[in-house]
Amino acid sequence: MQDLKGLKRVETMLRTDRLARMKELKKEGRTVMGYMCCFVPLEMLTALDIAPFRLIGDCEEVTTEADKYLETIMCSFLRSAFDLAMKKTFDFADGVIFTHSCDSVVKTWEYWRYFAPNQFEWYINVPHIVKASSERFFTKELLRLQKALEAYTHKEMTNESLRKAIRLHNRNRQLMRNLNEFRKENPPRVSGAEMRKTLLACMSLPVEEANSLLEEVIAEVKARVPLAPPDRHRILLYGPEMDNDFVDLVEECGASVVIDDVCIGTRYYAKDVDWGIEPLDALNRRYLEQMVCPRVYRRPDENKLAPGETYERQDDLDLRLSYLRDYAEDWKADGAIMYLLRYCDSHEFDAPDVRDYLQEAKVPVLFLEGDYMVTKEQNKTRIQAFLEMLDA
Amino acid sequence: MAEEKKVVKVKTTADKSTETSKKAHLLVRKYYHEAAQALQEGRPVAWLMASTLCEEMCRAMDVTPIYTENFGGTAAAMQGGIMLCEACEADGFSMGICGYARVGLGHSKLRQELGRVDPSWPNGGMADPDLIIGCSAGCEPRYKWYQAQRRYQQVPFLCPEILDTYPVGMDPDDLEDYYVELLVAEMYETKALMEKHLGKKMDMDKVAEYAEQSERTRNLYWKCDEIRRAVPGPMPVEDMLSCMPFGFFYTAFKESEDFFQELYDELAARVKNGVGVIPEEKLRILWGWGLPPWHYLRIFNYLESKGAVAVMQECYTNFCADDCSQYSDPFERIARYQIRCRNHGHKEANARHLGVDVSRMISYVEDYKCDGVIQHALVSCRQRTIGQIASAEIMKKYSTIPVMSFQSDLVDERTASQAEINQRLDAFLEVAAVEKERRQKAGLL
Repeated sequence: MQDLKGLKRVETMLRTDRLARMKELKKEGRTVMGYMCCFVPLEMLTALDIAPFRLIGDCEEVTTEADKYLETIMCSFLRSAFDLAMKKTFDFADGVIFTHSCDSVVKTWEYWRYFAPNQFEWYINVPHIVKASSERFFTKELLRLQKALEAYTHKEMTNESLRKAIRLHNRNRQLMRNLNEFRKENPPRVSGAEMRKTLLACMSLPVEEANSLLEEVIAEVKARVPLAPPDRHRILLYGPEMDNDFVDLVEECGASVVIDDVCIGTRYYAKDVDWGIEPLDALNRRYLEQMVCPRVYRRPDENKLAPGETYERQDDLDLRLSYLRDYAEDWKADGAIMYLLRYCDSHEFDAPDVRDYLQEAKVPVLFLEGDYMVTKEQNKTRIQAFLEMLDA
Repeated sequence: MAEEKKVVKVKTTADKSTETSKKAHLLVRKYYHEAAQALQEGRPVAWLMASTLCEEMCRAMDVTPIYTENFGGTAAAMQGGIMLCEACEADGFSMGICGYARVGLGHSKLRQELGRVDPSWPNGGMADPDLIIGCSAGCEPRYKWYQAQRRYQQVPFLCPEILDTYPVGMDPDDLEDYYVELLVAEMYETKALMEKHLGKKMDMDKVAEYAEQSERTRNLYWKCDEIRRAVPGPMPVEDMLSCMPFGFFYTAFKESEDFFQELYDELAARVKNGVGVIPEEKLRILWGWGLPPWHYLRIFNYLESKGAVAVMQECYTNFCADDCSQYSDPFERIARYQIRCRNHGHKEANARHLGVDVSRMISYVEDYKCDGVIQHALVSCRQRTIGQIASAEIMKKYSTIPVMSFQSDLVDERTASQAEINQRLDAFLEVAAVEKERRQKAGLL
């Protein structure tokens, strides 16, 4: 498969076995580990020569094993990932790392480690609130992770190895952002579906190989003629774990997804790890303070307020959501689609604010609630109606 | 003129067994009225979540607390939850988010629209707060709810980072100190912000007194659960759910300690005299995972009508009888006590390679001599629902007693029918009785 280049390789990886390369590496003696969610500092794994891959579900595979252990009134993405774990999809890995991302992940972790145990199992208790004491706590969590990984691999994580890993992952994120820039064009030179697939492929390769693949994809995209006619509606997609084919569905309906705010999307690559400070401090900043996710609570500085005063609601909204307005402006989105996975509490709590904020920024919004396995016909009708409304 | 059709409310609350628990709702109502009075008199009121670790600070600052999660349960029990949920959902919030939060958000939305709290709302509604204090402990709604609350209410929102639960599988000896360090730092920040917003200094001697008070209350609360191991069970779950607010929320009140002392004395007398909840206790039930259906607390009376008593519950328990008085900083004392309570049984759970909740259930089944476990899957609560099926599977390795789950919600009665729930209970109790008979015949009981 490594003979294939660029988007062909991406397509083939996803059509056959996304994790084939990881399995090869494992056979060659490399340590490989699965990780759940955006909060795992991959740089620490790379620094110890561990190849990390993202744990995701499979929206084309009916969940059967998960039904025996997990309720239906929870995140369907996690149920699907757990289903794959029970079907031994990730058994080849040396370990798995989970984080305190949301209530569903916390509880799933408890049963994942019981029913689908791995040699190395770790959980990072990521704080929720951006503030100094949380950052101190998170530093201790990162140090504990470092010690545990060093003990498992019998290797030392030096500042030098960590810096090298940061450089590689920053390069990876930069390349993803470069690719994303092509979506600013009208028509976009790369589709939302291609972006999703490329990112998924990169999440299934060691970072050096992912960077090479991205360079190939970028060269290929740069050389191609624009993909779609220029009159398609330009959509901002908002949602949680969206490695499923929802993006493809929106594009099949005749729009272009030109920018996203989803977990398997810009949330993964929008921010780099700072270069000029101590590596662990930089990781702390990147994975807590700078992480855009509704489960992270940030607010204007309370200490600057006068007694009895509270910050203005608009300040709160701007601090939490202005990046969405910027995305819509910079990528010239003329509509937004929010696709929330049912029972994803942190996104559901934010939904009315996100909807209102975008609408106030004159971005019309379609708000859909559904499952990881997208119900195509029903959603198609609503998306088409929304696009017709944008026409008017 | 046609006669106006009268809406007849069917009783959904439970009849209590113990005399002390019958007084509980009056005390809770009194606290709501005190908050309304405080508002009228210009004294500060705070809305709080459980686990904010602010109860003692509020008392020391003469702030009247309203526990908004408690209001959610109360509203459902008083059949006033749906109207508030619907008001929240009309603004675009999903029916899947926490039922307590929907009640609270709906309350604030209607309060904003009406310009006042309607006295016909459950317990007269919640008085307007001067502060709202959420936290990150336990579940996401504890901070996301109050963040969303700002759609309707512009008051200072304090949100301490309270990470008080150890991750599954981690060694507690490695964790206590730095978890405590976080909690103490957060309490000092909360103190500074409360002082700033309320314009006065917090008296730390008073905080220390209230910390001691809280421990006494919580230890008595724990003792009341311990004595419930007796056969026949002296107190059913529905009674403890009425008493829970004093051991879970209003812990720094001397009244709460007195309440539990009275309850303990009553339970001790019942145990001594062999007085149970019903004349013949045929089956002993553990109320396993999941919070209660506040909209249908009569479910427990239904069980009793079939000879089954819910003798213990997994939720709202307190564990620690540790003396934390050696910690001179009252915040450290509160933090240590909290951490040790929350993580009680963690080592035992690690040895079983399990989470602490499932591990506790396994212990409860044995300690309280249970014949069956009933779990309540809550449509609007991930934290107390995910893993109920898995835990039933795990428990098979430890016990042959049956485990059932039924689905409804903590607040939202639209999610289930009582008749269907009862039907499922009937079948479950039959299975539990057969299994009990088998164990008796096999000499296992």
